[in-house]
Amino acid sequence: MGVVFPMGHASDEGIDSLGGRYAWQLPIVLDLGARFLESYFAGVYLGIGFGSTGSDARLEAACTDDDVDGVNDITCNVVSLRAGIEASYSFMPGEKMNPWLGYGFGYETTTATYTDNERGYKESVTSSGLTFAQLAFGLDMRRSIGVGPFVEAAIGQFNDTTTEIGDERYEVDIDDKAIHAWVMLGLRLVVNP
Amino acid sequence: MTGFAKAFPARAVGRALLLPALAVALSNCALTAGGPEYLEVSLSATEDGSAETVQRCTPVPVMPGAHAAREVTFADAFHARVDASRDRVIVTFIGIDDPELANETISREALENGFAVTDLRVETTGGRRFTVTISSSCPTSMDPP
Repeated sequence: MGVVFPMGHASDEGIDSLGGRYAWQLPIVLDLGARFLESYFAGVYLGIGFGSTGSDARLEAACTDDDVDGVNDITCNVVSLRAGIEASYSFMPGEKMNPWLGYGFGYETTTATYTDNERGYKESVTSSGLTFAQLAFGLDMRRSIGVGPFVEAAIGQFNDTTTEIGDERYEVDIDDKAIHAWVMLGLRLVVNP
Repeated sequence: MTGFAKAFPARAVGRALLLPALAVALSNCALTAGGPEYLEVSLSATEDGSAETVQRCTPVPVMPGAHAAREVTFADAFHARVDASRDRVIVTFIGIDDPELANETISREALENGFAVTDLRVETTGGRRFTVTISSSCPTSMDPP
């Protein structure tokens, strides 16, 4: 678990930065796999992140409930899902302090939802694509379990977008694709290190 | 005490001044949540000599990256593709003569200000003639959807 920051662009369509669409997120990532040849690990990762909509001025204005009735009539939230396969290499697998390096790739999808409860309007936008490279570096402090800090950059590209407004659903391919990254600073727990 | 002071005691004058001040202050406190205007774009076509009008409304999203895109078919004669994003709506015609003369890119500001093209004459590649209307007025409103 940790904190994820958006970087780069969601698309090349006008000014469409990832940080404009999505704010930082609180993720939980589960890695499952096996160690082999002592230094190597291979497995799968599955992550979910929760956050709010981004810094785009018009989006912030739209998501601001500026009345005085004490009820949050407009809500904006974001959920991200990431899944894929990964491998890592431990530099000192038998030691108490083990630096490690990881690489993975997979699929990612992020959904931003805007709900105006007062006026009965709901819109959600789901952008999906490939994570080309999930690069990670960390340091485990190993006892009966391992624990340690890590930094990770998941570099990817959105390929398609699904927009739902009310009961209607629209699916489009993204013509002007762009590269983005989710940069994560976190702490990981390793069972049976 | 003067006659004026009897007629307008200090507390009464204070209240009289307070009420307009309170009204001015409260005028900045909205009673609705605010948020953007929820827009739609309407596309309709009527064939010459026909009383039947085909109309289709497409919502204009409020979130960045969102697209409401659909293709509308008119009397099996021609098509229009509507691609609505947060900032603009692009209407592209297929199956008519000189489609580039009919295609429209409409900004969000234009829709907010009441965009309307009501006399767009098109002739299909099959020789049928229609009057097309593109506007921000949609009778089957999306607010609420």
